[in-house]
Amino acid sequence: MSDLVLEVRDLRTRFQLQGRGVEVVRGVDLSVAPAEVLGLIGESGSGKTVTGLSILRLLPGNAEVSSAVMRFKGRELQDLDEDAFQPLRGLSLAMIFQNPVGAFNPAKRVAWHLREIARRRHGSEQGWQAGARDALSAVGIPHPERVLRLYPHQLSGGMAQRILIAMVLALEPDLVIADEPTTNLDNIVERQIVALFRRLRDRLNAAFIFITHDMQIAAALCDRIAVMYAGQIVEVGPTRAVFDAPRHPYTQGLTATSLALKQRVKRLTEIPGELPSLMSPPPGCPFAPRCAKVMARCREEAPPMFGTAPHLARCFLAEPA
Amino acid sequence: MLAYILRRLWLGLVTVVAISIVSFVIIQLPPGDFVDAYISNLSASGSMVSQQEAQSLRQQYGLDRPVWVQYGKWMTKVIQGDFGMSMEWGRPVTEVIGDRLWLTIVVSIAAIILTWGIALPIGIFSAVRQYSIPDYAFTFVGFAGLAVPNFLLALIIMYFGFTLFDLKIGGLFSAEYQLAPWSYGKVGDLIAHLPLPALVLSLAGTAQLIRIMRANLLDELRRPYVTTARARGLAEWRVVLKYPVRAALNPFASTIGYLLPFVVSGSIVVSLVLSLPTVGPLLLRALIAQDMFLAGTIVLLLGVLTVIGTFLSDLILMWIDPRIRAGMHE
Repeated sequence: MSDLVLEVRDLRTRFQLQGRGVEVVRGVDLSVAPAEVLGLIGESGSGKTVTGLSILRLLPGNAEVSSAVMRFKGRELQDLDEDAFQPLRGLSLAMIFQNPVGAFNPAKRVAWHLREIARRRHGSEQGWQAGARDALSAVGIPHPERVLRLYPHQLSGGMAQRILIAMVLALEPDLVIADEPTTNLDNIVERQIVALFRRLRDRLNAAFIFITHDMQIAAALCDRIAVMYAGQIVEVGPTRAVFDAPRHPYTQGLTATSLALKQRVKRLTEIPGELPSLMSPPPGCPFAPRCAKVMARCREEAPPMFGTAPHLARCFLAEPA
Repeated sequence: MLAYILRRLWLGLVTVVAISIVSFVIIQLPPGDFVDAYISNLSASGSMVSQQEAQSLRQQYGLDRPVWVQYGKWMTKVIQGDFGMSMEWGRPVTEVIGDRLWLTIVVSIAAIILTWGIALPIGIFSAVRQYSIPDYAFTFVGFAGLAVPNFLLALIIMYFGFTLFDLKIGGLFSAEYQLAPWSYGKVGDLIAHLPLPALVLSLAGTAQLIRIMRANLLDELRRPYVTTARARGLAEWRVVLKYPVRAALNPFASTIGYLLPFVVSGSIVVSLVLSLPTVGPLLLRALIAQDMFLAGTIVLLLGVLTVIGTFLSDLILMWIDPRIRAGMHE
């Protein structure tokens, strides 16, 4: 197992809000191998983004992150203090965010950002132009020289996201966490960015964690899928297995909804209800109040992961008889 | 870009004309005129002025003509660089104002530099270490600085400056340079006198600017580009200084235009306490005596300087924020 890029066991993230601790990520296990794309899917508020930010330690001061294992390329990261961890960001562990235009320094041209990337990568700005041109061409930007002179507010969303991806990849990280990188983009651009990720996946050796709520994108891009609900992973497995034979009722609901969208069904089968409040999580399975197949047991006892690797589900229905 | 600057200049000119009209009207507003004030002054000291004398005085100054004629005559002269005679001092207005205008500008600029020099680092520190003990301490001192009247602060600082630090207090020049022509010695003397008034005048503004800088920077620190910069592994100080501080600077640039009139009008009492030879006390006296050409000229000059200051802030804003530059093309 030491050839994994990242292995996380029992990741927990708590926020202190008005004197109360709220656990937003509640025992997440993740692993990614080189050149693998892991899709982290779930609805808004399920803790996907916080999981990503927790791994990179980018959360504000009122967050406490703990984990049993946080191993990066065989190296335990938990013991590192901020000074030792900071150099890993960007060069080893990188993150791509939503809202691409807002991810630029609004007062500086694109060129300034790429010069900074060169300094981060090579320790100096020397010869940054060549590197910048290559990086921008690699993500399909037609006239790099012209784009370098633009200010962030002059970029379209798709263009901005391409440049951000180019900048992240120019640092040659081993793991890229992409947090809904297509969320604020229109449909056509979204498809272009997904296509770009597919090309990059095949070409690079980096591992990707692709956070999204879009099942179709996840299906098109990911090798494995982890479904997140209320701060926990409720189902994980190879993409085909998760989509073709989902075991958790929540995953079944998600795939049914996206299938219905694809087939333009008149009436959508939605998952009723909403995410439970994490201020006072209900006992038992967090999905029980919304679950169509709920049993008496589900309301009292939180199910563990059942099934055989690689396909696991956190549901009593998946329990071997 | 050039078109924008020209347009701003043109608007500035229109504003100046409007200011001149408004200032002239305001000076005319109080009942009576300079002659009335002059007569009541004289009768207070026992002498009498006959009706005829008063009439001839009014004729001499043109006070018997309609207001718009008086304004027209004044403006025609102003354009030629002649601001008229001060009725109270009996000398040309330009001579009465003399160095005071430049000294006011010098004091203002010193106050601006000091304000920024103190407010910028403290504001950044308070935002980055929000809710730390030093942050609370600066907040307390800042609010105290806002609440304490400036002239009281002036007295306190004068006392401590004199007893503890042997600073030169009061005025902008030592006695031997007071009437001397300009020389390097006089400039040096001015610089030695400058810190104290600059400090007093800057304190209220500093307290305000610390709050603005802190609030702005806190906003900026939550922006996605800050997290993105951190995610690239940049050092924390670099993340803070290169990104959000830059964006939080806008209010600093935009205060330049307002600081000058603030220093002049908001600090008359301070100027009196510190006996600064600035235009503030002069304006107060001119208004009491209804010395209309002197008062009008001072108000006009302040208006012009404010317009220039605002224009400069706009240029600086354009320089530090490309979004403003881009907005001009639309």
